[in-house]
Amino acid sequence: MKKISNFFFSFFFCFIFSMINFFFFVYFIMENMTFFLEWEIISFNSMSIVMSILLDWMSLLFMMFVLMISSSVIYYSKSYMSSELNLNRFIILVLLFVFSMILLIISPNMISIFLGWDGLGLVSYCLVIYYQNIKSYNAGMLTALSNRIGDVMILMVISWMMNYGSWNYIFFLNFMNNDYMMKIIGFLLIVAAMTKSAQIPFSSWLPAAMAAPTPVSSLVHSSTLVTAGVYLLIRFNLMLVDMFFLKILLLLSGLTMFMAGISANYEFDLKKIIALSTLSQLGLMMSILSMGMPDLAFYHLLTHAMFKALLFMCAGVIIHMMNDIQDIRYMGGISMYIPLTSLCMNISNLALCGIPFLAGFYSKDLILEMVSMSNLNLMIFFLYYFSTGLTMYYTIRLLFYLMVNDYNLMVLYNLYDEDYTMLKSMFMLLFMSLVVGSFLSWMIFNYPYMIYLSINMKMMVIYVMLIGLLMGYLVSNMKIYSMNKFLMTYSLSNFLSLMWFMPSLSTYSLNIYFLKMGHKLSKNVDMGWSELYSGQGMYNIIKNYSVFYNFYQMNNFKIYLFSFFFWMLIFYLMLLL
Amino acid sequence: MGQIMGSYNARNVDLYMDDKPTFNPQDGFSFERKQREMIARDEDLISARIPPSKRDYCAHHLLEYQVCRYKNMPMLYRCAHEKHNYLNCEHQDYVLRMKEFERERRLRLRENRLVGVA
Repeated sequence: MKKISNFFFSFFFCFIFSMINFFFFVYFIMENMTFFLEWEIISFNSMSIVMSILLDWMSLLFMMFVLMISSSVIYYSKSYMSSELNLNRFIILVLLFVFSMILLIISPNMISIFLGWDGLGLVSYCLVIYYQNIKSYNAGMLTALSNRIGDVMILMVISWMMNYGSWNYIFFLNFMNNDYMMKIIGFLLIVAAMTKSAQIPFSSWLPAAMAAPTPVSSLVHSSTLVTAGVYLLIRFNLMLVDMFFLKILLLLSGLTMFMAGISANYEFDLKKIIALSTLSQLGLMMSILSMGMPDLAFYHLLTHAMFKALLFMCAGVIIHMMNDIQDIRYMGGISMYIPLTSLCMNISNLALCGIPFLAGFYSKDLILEMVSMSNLNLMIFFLYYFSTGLTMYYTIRLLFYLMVNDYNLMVLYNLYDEDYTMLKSMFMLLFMSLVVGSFLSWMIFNYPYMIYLSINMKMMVIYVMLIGLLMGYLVSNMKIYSMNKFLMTYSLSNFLSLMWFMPSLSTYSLNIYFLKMGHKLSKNVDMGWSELYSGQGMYNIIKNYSVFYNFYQMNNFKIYLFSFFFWMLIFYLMLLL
Repeated sequence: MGQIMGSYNARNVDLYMDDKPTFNPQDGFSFERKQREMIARDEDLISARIPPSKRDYCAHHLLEYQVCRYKNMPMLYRCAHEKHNYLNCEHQDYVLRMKEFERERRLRLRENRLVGVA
């Protein structure tokens, strides 16, 4: 009873707080208001350390979404984690995560941003290693160390900002824009955001982090934590618009969504497919952000958070039902047995593809049309549209594997929607996934975008989606003959399915150099020179001296005795004389 | 990329999408072209906190839309009319700019032809 009440209170707190944020959001956006609260902690040498809070429509809306998803996930966990031993620890970790995220969202100050940022990294590590086994530990270490690079970048930004006398970055964005030093800060921030949002070359941690419990994946690794990087760059966007490195980011994020889209098509692990799709959408957000449209990135961030959290929750139900098996080749025909979960799964998947009038449609279509309207080259255009096609491709493949193909796990089976607690929380997000797209498109765009395209350009999204749909259907029906044919492209498939060898890049291939260097250092320094001059060498010297004295003492004792008597004799004679 | 397709041929005369018009605005016209008027007043734009990038020739429609948004929040579907007016004006503005671009391209071609390059 005690455990359940903890869940309920956490859920209730998050939900009520989310609703309060929603009302404040409407009021703030209506009045075009911003609240900036500041408390001075200490001031020395013209450097002031202040605790500040920034409340505007953006932070309030993001907080509302984070808390809404958190409340839903906590409610879901009541059932999903019910057989867990340390439930209180789980809830405390989730609430700590929410707290860190809120600290990050409302901070206009680099120090408090760093506290939130580092809190996210730490709590996400604790949550990834929640199931304590070797795989989780490895995944957690990869996650924590990849994110650590970003933390170091933020630390360097903090130390650099000491030159300016304040860490309130929001004051520097406009009038320090032409300062060359701000370019360095911008570069460091972009790298930090790339680690948190898992862009190339830091992508490998996101699929690895799927070792976490599914509710955690739903909250942390799909909708909130990974969007922290995007949010940071949205806040800093005024400063970054003219930077050359932002163009590099456009290329890298475009490649990220392309790479993730292709890898998802090769993947058979249910959670990893969804993780790679998250990676693909993060690439989309980052790339539209680097084209100078932060409001569109924020819009997609919010809609994506809703349907992706829902998608993970559905995956969790399916994994529970399948006796903790995640391989989609064992699944099939589940729409016959768990129709309500399948309903949620289908709607969130279709929202992900951008089917009209679900949540993803409004944001994705707007982004792609703005890409078509802008002055960019063919390669970026190709990356955007091909990745959109790939999204449809892996989604349809997943749907066919899950819903249509035959069930492959057991001969005799009894599957059903076992838990209404999980379903209730899923329906909350389902409702949001349905309405949030159009609702936000009314609310947050004070200044609407004008789009004017030829018919074929306008229909381009539909074309690539139709091709993706066809390909997804064909691939999901692949039989053993075609599978064998695929062996002919083994090297290419290996390259594409392993995320362009990125996990190896950030683990084995990078580790080996450090291990080799460590081995050499250990041989030459620890066991070599430093041993010669400190441990072993000193021992030898002292030992030799002591052997010598020993020899002198033990074997020539009579000489001492003789010399003693001799000197005594001399002394005596001197006294006599 | 989409819009760049329409402007690709213009590169033959070294004309890119962000270039400004270089010829006399009256060239090739039998009537006198009038300069466009900014309808929205600066004070109104400032008081409505419209960002500088949005203070174009359609800003008066944008002001109307903002007023409607303020009155009807959060039932913003009631402002569809004002929004459509604004976007229509932006569309007309866009077409005008495209026509100006095409005029620039043709005038450059003509200039090249007259000096015997093309």
